[in-house]
Amino acid sequence: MSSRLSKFVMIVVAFAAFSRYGSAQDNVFTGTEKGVDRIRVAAADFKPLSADSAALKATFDTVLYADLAQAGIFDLVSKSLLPQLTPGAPSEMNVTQWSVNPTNAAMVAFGSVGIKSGRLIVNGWLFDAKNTQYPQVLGKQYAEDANDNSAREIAHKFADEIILRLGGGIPGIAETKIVYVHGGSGSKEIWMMDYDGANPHPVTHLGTVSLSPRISPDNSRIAFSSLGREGFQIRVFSLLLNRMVAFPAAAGTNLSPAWSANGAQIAYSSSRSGDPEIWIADANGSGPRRVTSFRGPDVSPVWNPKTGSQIAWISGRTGLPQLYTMDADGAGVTRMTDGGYATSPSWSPNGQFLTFAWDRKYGPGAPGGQDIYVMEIATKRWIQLTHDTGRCDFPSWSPDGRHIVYASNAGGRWEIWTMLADGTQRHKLSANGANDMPNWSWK
Amino acid sequence: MTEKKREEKTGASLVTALVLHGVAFGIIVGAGAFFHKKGDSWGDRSEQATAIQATMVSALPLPPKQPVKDDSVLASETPSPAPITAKEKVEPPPSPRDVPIVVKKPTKTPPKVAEKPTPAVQRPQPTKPVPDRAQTGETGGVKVAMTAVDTKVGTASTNVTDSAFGQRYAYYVKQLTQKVAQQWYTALLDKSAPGHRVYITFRVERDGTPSQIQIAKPSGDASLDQSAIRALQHIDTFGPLPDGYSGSYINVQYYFDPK
Repeated sequence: MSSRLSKFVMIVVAFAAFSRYGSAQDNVFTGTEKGVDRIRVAAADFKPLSADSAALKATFDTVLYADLAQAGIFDLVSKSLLPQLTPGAPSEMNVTQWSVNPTNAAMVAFGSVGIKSGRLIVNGWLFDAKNTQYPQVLGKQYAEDANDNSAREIAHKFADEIILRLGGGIPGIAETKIVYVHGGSGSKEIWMMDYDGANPHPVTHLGTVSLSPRISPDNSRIAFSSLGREGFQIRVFSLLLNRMVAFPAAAGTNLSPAWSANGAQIAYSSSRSGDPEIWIADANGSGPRRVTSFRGPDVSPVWNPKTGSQIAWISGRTGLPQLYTMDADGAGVTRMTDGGYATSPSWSPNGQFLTFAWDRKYGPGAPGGQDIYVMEIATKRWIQLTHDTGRCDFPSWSPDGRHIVYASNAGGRWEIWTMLADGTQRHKLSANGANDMPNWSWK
Repeated sequence: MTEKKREEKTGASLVTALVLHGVAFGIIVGAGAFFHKKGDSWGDRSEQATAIQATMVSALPLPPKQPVKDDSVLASETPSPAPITAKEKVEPPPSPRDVPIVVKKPTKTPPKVAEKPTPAVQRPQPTKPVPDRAQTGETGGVKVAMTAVDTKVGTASTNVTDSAFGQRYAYYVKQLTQKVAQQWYTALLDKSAPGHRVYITFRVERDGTPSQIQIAKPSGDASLDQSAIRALQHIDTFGPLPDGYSGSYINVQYYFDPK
């Protein structure tokens, strides 16, 4: 028979390439460096109304100055340029003295601190130095118990008011807290401190390894993962009741809990099905359901705090851990990083940015350096925030979207550091070593 | 008996199959032969094999030398030298004695007795403006009008229609202007477009949220107008209206002038 019966069909499958991933370092608008003039604020020394308030007044002055300097939106007049005046009331205040050189302030914060019958009374005013007709912007009075902690609290409250009025409606962060892990080899416990590093104190006393603490959006509970009898489990500590509350245990290793924006759900990584996947449960642990189902570990979920309907997490489905986003029901998986070793994401409060730790040159022989990066989600453009300061990890956004707290082992010991969201004004918050995994509270 | 039947059946089906295959084969070959193009296909047996002829480059001759046309200036092989221009005759400068100057000789008069000089009148000197630079080196803040903000991308200015509000709460208006100026993303603006200043009106509610954003006077550049509206829509809140203000909203007129 003729061999023409046989036909050969060649099928060529053309495989289209994906859209390109994160382009190189471009400008990312985080809102703190847009070229708008910072408001020039003079924080005057408050007037002591009674002789015994000197020590508390000194604390108040330093804390108020530090809060305003840390806010990221003010240009604080340095203490040496202030006129040698301590006006205690609006009647003693003459704004023209503060608006001329060398002070040249646009706003002046002043007032008085006194102790009356065991109570610390602080009167604070914020005057607009350029508006001689109607200078008053704020007038506040605070009364608390007369101790050092109250002086700090009142200074934080007053600074928050000033930041709210002058900073475009975004509340200040002076009263927020940071939870973190403290402990080297041996047991690791959950500790908490003020946003400026003051008052570090332990929260849990479990005597075992506890990791990745996360405060709930209403500041009432801390969820973390702790090594117990049944392996790593999600545990919840109630700050209102000051004790652990129940969370059902599950099989496998359960790590990195994350609260949703409304506090009703917790996402976490669980390997109860064999492979670590992202699971979502209600805030009390009931009704867990799986949202990822790919091979490779899926860890470190974080919710979109603006919409509450998206989750960013780290997945090793392609080999090295990369950053992904998806809807909260598991649809719309999008890869964000194009290589390297990415870990521990945190979503910005306005929903536009992700910050994470990234080692772009990971591998044997490569000069690995893990640094904090910020990526704009819509365009996938990223910017590197830390350079050559040791290994940096576990970044966490502040609720005003202007600051990032992270852990760094510059100098050999792991400490908590904080910086503005554009990488400037970096300074250390903790001092006693072996501090890791910070998380900023929501308010 | 069944084998015979099967053999018959197979025999019959084999013949049918062969016939059908033959018909199909015949159709294919016949159609090919029937529809075969007669004549030359492209490039076959053409006189000048210019399009598909390949020649070794090393054997390619240079283009022949064109005959030189000397009278054409541009094609000449020997360009003429630059024309000699006569040096400009520079006139010598006039000597000082060329033009006679008539000087009136003063008539001799007896010398006057010098009067006592009156004390110089102290005219009030204008006060020197205080320099912006502070003595220690720190620069002073930028002095702009309370409601105008100069940023890297342009100038933004707000005007609250309730002028008493603008006077009393100037800090709020300034903070409002800065917040909108911060939102401005001008990278998508059309640089060659003629329009410049766009006027927007909007309302700020009691809790600080902007509403009723409208273009009051378009700038002539649609992309600038749209980016202005988008900048306002991006803003969640300006911060609550000051406590001392009793109204429930303020109307704001806003213009933006990109650099």
